[in-house]
Amino acid sequence: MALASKQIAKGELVFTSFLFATSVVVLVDTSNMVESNAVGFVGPKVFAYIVGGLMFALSALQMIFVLRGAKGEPEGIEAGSPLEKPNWRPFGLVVLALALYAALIEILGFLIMGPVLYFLVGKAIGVKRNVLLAIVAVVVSIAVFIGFTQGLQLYLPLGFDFLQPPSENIEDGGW
Amino acid sequence: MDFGHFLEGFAASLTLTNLMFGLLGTILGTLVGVLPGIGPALAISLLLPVTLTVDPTAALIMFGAIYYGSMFGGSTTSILLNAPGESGSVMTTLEGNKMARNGRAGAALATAAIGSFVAGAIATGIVAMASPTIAWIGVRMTPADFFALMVLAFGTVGAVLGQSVVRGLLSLCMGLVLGLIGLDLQTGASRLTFDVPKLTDGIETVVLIVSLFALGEVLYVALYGRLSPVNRNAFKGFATMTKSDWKRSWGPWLRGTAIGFPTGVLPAGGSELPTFLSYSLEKRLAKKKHDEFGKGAIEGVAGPEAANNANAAGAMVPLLALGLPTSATAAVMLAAFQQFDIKPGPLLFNDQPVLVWTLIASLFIGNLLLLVLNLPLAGVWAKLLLIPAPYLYGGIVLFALVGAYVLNGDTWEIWVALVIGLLGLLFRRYGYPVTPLILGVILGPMAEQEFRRALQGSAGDPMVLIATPFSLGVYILLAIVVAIPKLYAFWKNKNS
Repeated sequence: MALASKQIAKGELVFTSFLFATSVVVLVDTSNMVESNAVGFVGPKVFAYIVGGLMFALSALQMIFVLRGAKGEPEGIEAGSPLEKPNWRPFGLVVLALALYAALIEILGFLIMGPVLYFLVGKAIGVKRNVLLAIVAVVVSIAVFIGFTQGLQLYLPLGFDFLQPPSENIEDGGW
Repeated sequence: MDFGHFLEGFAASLTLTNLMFGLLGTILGTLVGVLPGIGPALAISLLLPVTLTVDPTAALIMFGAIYYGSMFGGSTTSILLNAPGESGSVMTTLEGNKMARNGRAGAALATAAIGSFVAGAIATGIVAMASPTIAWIGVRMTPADFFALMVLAFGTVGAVLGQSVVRGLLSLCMGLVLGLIGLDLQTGASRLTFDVPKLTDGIETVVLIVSLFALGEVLYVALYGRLSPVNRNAFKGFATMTKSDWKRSWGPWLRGTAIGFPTGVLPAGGSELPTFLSYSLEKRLAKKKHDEFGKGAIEGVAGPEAANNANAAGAMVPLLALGLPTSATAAVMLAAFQQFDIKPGPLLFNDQPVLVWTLIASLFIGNLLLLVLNLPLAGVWAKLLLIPAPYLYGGIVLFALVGAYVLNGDTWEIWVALVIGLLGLLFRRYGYPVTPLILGVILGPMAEQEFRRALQGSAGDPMVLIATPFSLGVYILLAIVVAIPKLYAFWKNKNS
């Protein structure tokens, strides 16, 4: 660390603070926990205290390193190279796509939201050809839908439940 | 070795269903190894939803085949693309790509494929022989011994991986914290649930792994990545070797296996270390003979590729015999076992001998299938490299979110995935390794259980944790493993 630059990495500082705060939350949560008397020699608190305490010490140590100029090397990207400055537009688009998917999947169904998600992510990461991307998005989604619902017998929502008349309440006949 | 069960396993693995899943696994694995951005751990985690319906034997056969296959496929990108498909192939790139530029791509691909086969076969043989012995020891281990082994895994993976020991261990702590969330199984006390009912069930391991690997990567690429088209070395037809290639390859294959296997058994953090060691060894040995290193030496491909595959097989020993994963991929496989409520470990060999031996036999068969697939089809795999990366990322995200949803048929998991994905992005950005986190989440609850069992037995006396020679030995080993790289760096600094 002899050649560490004087400049402190701000993002790194924020992230380390986040880790530190997490450890504090763990410790506080553990100390507020009500322990029943029947727990024997080691209850659920001990391990949580160890983990919280370890993280508290390590993140405090890391904080010192960061303040002294330590900087993490961003991880490499397989099909390209990492940038120094963040690219907020594509990132925002991906987050939007994920949030839209989570919010609307049960309303509009997988066959609509699947292609939308694929299209938006592809667009964000740099596909130029819209029509081709749209076609691929639909084909891949249909393949995934068939694979999961028919092949693996798992449930994916078709959506549009609101169009159906509310089903009559069938009384559970009791078990 | 348990020969009767081994033959039984072979017979069971030769059923049509199991063979199909093995074949599917080898194809998917090779595909995953070839395609940039998807590693074996991510691939298996994206496929974890199959554990909800497919029978355990078939699913585990497929996962094993994916693990081996991706090691195979990684060499193809290294040689033809000068871009290692995953971290274990970095060393192959050095000489392999130079060979390809000199028009010797076929020989490079062949020595990688055959070397992987040789290493995989030898290593799987050792797994078959060693696992029951380790399992025998395992039955005699106390909770404190198991706890010591898990601390060893935590310590080595946390301290060895990543740019600094503190970063690695902080990543591990984050995993342990995430593992705490939910109800304590023994007392029903809720930890870190903040009165959110959904959190009492804890965070689904599958969701966590998928979002850390898949969403974390995609979000990272979107925010900080610039994808660039890659230069490809053309290759068509069969991958073959000349007589002199064979003569120069077999030594590195065997030495690579000898290096790769033990480093897979020990929690040394995956395949970076053994491939590096094998490469340096071959380079030093070549100085005496025809030294082509730097210009495309076949030894520099043969050794690391063998080490790579032997390493993957070596990781199966602690996974099956002790239930202890030593790499990210093995950790994800452990998650798959847990999905089936199967507890790998010493008892597994007694409880489910057919499952274990079928899995081991399938690794043999999968290895053979890989060889058959790869020599003639190397050119076809190479074509896949033409798929532009953004199309892949769309698919990865789609698969990840479908996987998260089908677990419980609930959008809650998708929101959790988004949050964990953002955490994965931050880890990548600030140089924190993800593997220790995964290990912490999966092994943390198990470690706590053994910890509490040990202390329960000793009426709360913590000395029980180092009471047996085994546990004491493990802690000493941990101290050595963590200290050696530091001492080496210190010594190197002093000399230079």
